[in-house]
Amino acid sequence: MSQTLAASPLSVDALMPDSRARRRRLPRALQNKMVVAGGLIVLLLVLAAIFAPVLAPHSPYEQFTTDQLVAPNATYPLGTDELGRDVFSRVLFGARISIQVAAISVSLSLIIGGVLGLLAAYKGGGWDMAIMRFADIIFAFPSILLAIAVLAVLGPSLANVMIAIGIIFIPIFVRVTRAAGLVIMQEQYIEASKSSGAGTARIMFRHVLPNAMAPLLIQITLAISYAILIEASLSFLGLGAQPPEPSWGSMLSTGRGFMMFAPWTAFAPGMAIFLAVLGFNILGDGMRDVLDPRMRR
Amino acid sequence: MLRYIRTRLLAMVPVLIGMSILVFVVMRLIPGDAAVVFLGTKPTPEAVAAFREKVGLDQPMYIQYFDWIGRLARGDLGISVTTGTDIRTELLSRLPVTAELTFLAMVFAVVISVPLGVIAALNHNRALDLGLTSLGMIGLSLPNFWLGTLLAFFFAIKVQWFPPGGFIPFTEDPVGNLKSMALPALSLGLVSASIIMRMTRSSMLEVIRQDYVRTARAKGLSGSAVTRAHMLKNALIPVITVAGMEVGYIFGGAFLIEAVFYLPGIATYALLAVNQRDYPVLQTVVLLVTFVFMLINLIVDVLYTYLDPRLRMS
Repeated sequence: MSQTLAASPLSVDALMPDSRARRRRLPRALQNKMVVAGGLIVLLLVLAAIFAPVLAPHSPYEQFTTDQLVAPNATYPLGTDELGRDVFSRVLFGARISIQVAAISVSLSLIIGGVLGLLAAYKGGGWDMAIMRFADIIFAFPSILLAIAVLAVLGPSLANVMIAIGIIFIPIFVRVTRAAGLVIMQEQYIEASKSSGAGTARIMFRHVLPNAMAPLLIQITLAISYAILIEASLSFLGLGAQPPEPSWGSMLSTGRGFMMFAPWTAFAPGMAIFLAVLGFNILGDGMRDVLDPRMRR
Repeated sequence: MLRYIRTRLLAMVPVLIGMSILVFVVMRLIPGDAAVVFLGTKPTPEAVAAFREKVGLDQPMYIQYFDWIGRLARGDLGISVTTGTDIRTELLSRLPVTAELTFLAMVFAVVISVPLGVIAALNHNRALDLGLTSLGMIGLSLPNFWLGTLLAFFFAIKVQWFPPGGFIPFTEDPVGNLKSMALPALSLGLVSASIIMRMTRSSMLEVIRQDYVRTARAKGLSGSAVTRAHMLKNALIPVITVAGMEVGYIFGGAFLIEAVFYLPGIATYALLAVNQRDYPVLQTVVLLVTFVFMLINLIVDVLYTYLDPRLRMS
């Protein structure tokens, strides 16, 4: 959960401005078993999301009224739910929701948090102070509580879940980019660039940001895993995706009521959430091993 | 030490003020008037005006804010707009449930994670280590509400060893209370147990390579004495920080677990408030829970500084 995000040490050693070193990372990454295993799960998840309309035997919304709560069989690989909808098709389409929410919310916080973090590092002084206090305030809230409060204001919907999750992650990305930025700002090439007349934006985005990529990449992977988990949690509580959207969290919440006689309605979405989170967690751990030399053992 | 605590407490003040303003303003943005919720779908304009005056909604925002903060400081948490009950009384009756859940989950997490982390580190790169690390990764990725659902299904519905939900106060029936809290605490604590286990393992691995451990071994101390007196004592410092952070996260996780096991705690109160647009309840709960969260973090930091003399010097 977010503790993984917060606790993961920021790797400054991972900043390698030399482009040769950066190129070497890909083959090295592929030698890491965790990167490969996690990457495979993530790849499967993304493929399921992209090709859901092709792979799904039925529409995720179509109700086969004569086939309610049917156990898994050839027609319905994972059975049907209480309304006679194909659980397998709904789980496949659920991958779309999870990936979409995670991608959009993490991008949102990455953009806002990244810009604020770079600004804080680059400008320093009052800017730094104001931005970091703002980040502290957001960070002080327990994340699920903050999301619930945001959804109470905006109303329950998937779009609002993306905003809520986006807000939760802003302080994390502010801190990571600021810390990385501060180190990079000391480098000679920044000074060189400054003295050759480059503007703030150019230095921030051309020089500081690319070199802060390694710690950011690790955080992004872990943030995606956490975003999937929070979306599922909020939908489970009824604050995210609304029926009949096939969100894993809301499917699990409804399926729980039928555990006694149709356990597949809860098992399928529950396992899907678990595997998606597991995939990104393994990938994130592997990437930390590869990108952060201090963590390697 | 006292000066450190004072500085930290003072540093909390601006964050708390910023947070309270944020919570207050944001809560005023909730769509739908509380008056409509409280008075039904078609209240008369007079009734709405009277209600707004009664709960102070007719005042300017800043007056409402200072009024709220002033009353909070005096221990008056306000009244729920949907039920008309005193928020303080309600919170006090629900606090024991959430506190017990958090406490038991934490105890469970620490009791199983630290020994397992030590075992994994002592068997570094052997099968046992690999198995425990993999288990840790699985535990870390299991959503607590899914684990709770699974545990309730197998242990409450299939074999009926535990009740599937509900709360029995400890004072009424201690055994029943622990039985009703066992599955929720287990589901809530597992993720934290995995995280603390991973931290214990890597922290132990860090210490194993230290010179003083080699010296202790060279002096002829037995393996277990070295582990206890030299390794564990030092390795546990970062573990305590992580464990402390987990208290806060377990507290947050209670929101889902209370919903899964139908526990009448603070989290269910907040969720109810969300559904009923009861913003006095919501804003008070959000602020208080966050305040407790910050206090826990402070206590952990103080404990950490106390345990690590190097930090105390600086």
